[in-house]
Amino acid sequence: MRLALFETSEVPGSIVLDKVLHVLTSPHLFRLPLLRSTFAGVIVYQGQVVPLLAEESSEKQDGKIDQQPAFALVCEAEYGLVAVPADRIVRITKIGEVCSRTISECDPQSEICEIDGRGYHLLDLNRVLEDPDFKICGLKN
Amino acid sequence: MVDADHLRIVFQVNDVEFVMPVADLLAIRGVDEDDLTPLGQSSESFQLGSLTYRETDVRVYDLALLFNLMAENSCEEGPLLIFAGSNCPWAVRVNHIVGVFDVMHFEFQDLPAYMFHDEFVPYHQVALHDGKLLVSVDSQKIDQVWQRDA
Repeated sequence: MRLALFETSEVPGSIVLDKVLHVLTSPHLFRLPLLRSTFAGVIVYQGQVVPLLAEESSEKQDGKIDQQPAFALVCEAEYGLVAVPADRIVRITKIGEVCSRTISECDPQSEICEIDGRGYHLLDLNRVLEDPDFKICGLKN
Repeated sequence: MVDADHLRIVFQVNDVEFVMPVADLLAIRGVDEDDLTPLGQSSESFQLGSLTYRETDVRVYDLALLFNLMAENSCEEGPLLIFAGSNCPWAVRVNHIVGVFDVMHFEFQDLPAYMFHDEFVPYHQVALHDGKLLVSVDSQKIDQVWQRDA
């Protein structure tokens, strides 16, 4: 299984590559009212409105939201398309070769893919959408 | 004769643009056309006050509060949209009216229910229009919120 590795401002993350349809550069984020805190808003991908996950750090202390994401990984989930924000796309890697899976310390239901001493949170998008309180957590290195 | 069923009004409240069927509207009132009688400061409801329009009492509600929109540019000075309501007319003040457009200029899309923080959120649809994304609402849904609020 191959993983796409990416970084947000706080959390290094990874997603199973088969689920990634497209990586968008500088997507325009549209903010919408009354969304779950899991979502920062939506982007438009090929004419379709797609929810964009919020970064854990996307809400500043004064209540203002950070600026637009540098990248968005448009992914397939059971419930439809969902986009994941990223500051940097790191690389694509195979589990078992250079990546070893461990259980996340901050979220025991999640796995961490460790590469070169850095832990990339393995994102389960179906769980993100099912759990109203889900927030991306990960290791700070 | 223009068929209002095909028309949508676009208006802005605190930097968020909304689209709504023109057929839902009873009237659009300009700035300073009506005297608003404010409610007391202690009120925790969405109602801001009331006014009299054509000898009928009209409750004025705070749409920005309903949609949890931060008030950097509050719409105390904007035009007033009056709706018939199921029981009695009600109104909201908006920052400004962007325009009225034929429905064919909008591309409406439903949002999945899992995106919202509860089942009572009074919209479930957005509309792409002129490169912007608008919140699509209808007055019946909002009317239900005011009824629960009463």
